[in-house]
Amino acid sequence: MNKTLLIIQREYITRVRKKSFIIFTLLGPVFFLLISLLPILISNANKSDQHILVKDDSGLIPALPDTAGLYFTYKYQSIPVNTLKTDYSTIGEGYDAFLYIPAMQPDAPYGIEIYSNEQVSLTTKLYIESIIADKLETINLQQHDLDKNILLKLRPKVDIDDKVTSGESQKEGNAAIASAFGFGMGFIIYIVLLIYGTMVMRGVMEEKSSRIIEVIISSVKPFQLMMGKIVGIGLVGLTQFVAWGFLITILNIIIGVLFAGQLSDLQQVSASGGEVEMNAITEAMQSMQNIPIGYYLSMFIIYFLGGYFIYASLFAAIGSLAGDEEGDVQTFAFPVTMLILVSIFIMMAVVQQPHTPLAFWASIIPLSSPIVMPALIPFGVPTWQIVLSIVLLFGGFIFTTFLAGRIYRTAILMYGKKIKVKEVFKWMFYK
Amino acid sequence: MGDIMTFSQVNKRFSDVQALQDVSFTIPENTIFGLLGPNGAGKTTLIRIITKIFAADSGQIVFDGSDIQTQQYANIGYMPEEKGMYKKMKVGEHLVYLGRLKGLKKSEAQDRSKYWLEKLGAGDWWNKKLEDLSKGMQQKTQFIATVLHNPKLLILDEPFSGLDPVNAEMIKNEIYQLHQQGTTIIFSTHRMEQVEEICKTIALINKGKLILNGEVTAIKQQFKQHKFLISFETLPEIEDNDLFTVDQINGQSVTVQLKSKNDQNQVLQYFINRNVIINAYYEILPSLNDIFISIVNKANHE
Repeated sequence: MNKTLLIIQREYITRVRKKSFIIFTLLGPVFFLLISLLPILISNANKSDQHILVKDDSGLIPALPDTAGLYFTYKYQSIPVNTLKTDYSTIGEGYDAFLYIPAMQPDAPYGIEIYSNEQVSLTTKLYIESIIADKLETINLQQHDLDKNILLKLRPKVDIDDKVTSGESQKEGNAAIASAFGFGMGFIIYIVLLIYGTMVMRGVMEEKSSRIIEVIISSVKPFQLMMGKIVGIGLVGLTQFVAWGFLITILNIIIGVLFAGQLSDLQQVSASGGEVEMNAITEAMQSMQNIPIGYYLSMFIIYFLGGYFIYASLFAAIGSLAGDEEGDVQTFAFPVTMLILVSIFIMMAVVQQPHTPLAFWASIIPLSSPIVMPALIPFGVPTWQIVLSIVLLFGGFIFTTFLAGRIYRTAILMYGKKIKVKEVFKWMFYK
Repeated sequence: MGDIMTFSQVNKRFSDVQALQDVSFTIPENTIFGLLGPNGAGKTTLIRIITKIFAADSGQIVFDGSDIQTQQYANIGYMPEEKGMYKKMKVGEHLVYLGRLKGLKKSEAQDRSKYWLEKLGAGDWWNKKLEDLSKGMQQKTQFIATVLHNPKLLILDEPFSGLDPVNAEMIKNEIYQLHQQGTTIIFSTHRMEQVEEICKTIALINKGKLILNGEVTAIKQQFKQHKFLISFETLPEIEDNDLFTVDQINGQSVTVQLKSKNDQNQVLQYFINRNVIINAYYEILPSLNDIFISIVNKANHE
């Protein structure tokens, strides 16, 4: 068996079977879903049945229809408002809240108040507001003898359809979706570079400080060891992402089945809050379908791999420079971490303004292109620019692994004395 | 008897240090060879060139008829002084991994690891994590990793440091056995009594230069100071005279320094003439330790 493959295998297996890896891989998606489900869970927890006592002095809202967990009662209309305001929880069976609709004109619905011990949830408030608004609208339309349909026609919905004219083909574009998608891709690569890059660095430091390195490189070439480690850890990262994708999908399905009822309730409530939002969502869904997922994904993978190899080899070289003291390595790691951070900041700026010289250069230079280019692609990038960027990415990858290999093979056996930056440059460019 | 290994004019320079300068010597077949030198003398550099970790700037090392640079990694086994390991791995998988890196097949590596663990009384360590082993146990594991692939050339740097006498003896016996089977062994240490016990020939390196090379017995002859020990039934009164000076008196024995080198019979005659009973009379050869210290001190003062 090829020795580099052996090294890849060891690097991979020893990491993947670690408890910390398994726990992080399994709990990652759960954590992710918890965060995304948190609002629903919280509003669910609040949603014990609420009985609301209503007093309508306007006579405009004779009834409020009950809905999931919300029950309205028109009683005790003769008791003074001020008494109800304080005693709603003890009157009769006791109520959770008291809704007071004062005498008012249908076109000036001021002074509506709701009293409760705890803050009334936003969805409850939105629901009541929209029901009252609907009723008042109907009344107002009648008073002015207007037809609702005519009213709607008076204010037509304006929607600018943005088309991107790059190169030969015209594409349907949606700036918001494009930037979200691009941002997501760039951000994932950013995370990968930081997490797995530093993992490579730690692995190299561990081999150096435990002195196993001397045994290993009397069996294989240092470059084989370095590449084996980089590839092995890269595969660990890939495994984690694939596992997360898989687990999130499964969890989504499970949750969809288990909580189907509650979810649709929540959607109902928020949907009644505004038709406009629903329209925006369906529109977004439509333009998602216009996105060439396969193309984006292949670009993502190219930049993912290119970026990972460039930064992982830099981090490997840095790890080899480490002395026995933990702090030494920070001096060397700092500039590389900065490069990644600067790239993510450029990326954030670029998704706002995708057609600037900054965007162009950052998408070409191999140190920033792995983060910036995937974020730019959804906005439409000319083919020649992509080709140039990939060629440079590939060149950058060869160049950095070559340089890193030279630093690595010398530095990995240097103990005791502190390594100066000047020396490192010497190793890179001389024999 | 021919030479199995030849070093000719080996040079290696690190940016500001000449680590090795024109080092030339040979290792005869079928010996355990001692590579000696104070710290920082260039021993480790030389070993790293032999193990192909470094390349020499100039010069050549020939082992078993071909240049060391063209040798397979599989022909060489190296146990460094700093004995590192992947602490989180289990003994079995660690051995199998290192064996496979040397080119063994998986099944081969497994069988041999088991065989060696059994042989060194560690048959039940297979599933233990290295970090849970004592230092001596770790070192045994590392010795096994070094010899697992049956290298033709074995380089051991301080193989006994950290071992208790029982385990040191066990490893020593394995070294002798490998030597019997024809493995060339280069043994590096600061412990001169171990060198005297184990090595037949040595090379001493100081400040990157070879300063002494040859068979241990020949070297001792070369550096002998013509001291003799006479053990008496009862110690007579002894003073310096024309033949010798008194070096030291210890119990019923006295060590004398001859004034000219072939006078040992005259000295014996002198005491016989004094009518004292002599139990023993023999030459005191310098220990390698003394030779090492005197040579290195002399070289450092030059």
